[in-house]
Amino acid sequence: MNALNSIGGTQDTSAATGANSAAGSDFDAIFQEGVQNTAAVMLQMLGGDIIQSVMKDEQSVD
Amino acid sequence: MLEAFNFATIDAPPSCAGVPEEEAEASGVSRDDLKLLCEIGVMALAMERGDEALPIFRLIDSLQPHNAAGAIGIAMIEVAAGRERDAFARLRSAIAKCRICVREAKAILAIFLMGFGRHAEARPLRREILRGPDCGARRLIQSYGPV
Repeated sequence: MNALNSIGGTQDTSAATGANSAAGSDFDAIFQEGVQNTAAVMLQMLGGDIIQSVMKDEQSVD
Repeated sequence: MLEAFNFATIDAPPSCAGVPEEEAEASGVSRDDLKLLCEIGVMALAMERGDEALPIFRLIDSLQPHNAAGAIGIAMIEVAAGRERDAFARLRSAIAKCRICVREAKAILAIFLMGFGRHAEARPLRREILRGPDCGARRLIQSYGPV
């Protein structure tokens, strides 16, 4: 999940997510944070294009 | 969270009162209505309330099966719910059958694949997007580093 976290600018969480980590129970929370950060970046860059796409003609191709 | 959005589309002038009714789709949902719903859906995704927007993206998917926007929204909700395999399959299907919003679907699939350590599957998608025209999808992939 490091890639998901890094794109959102969060810190490297590999220590906490390691198999030997005592904090392994936090994985779900860290996972969700990574997904959310990633989604925020993607929506920032693509959200406008996605919204505009519904106005395009059915025959158009992009 | 609001700065996460490109609100350029919201500043578009409202439709004229005299717009012919032919703009309304057979479903009764006009393009303008669908755009507004899509804006709400994108906002909900960014606010971690994607589940509430699921009906919106399903509606877009059913009314515009040629557009990957609906599949993108549903896939993002699926990933957030831990159903990444469903999301990958949905995005791949949309990429294969859709004509609009395909670059965005490819970019999102590539990034999700990388996030789950499937770099080899993401690489061809990234290369294809980077070879394409300048757009949000390409800038997103460029921001993610070298292929």
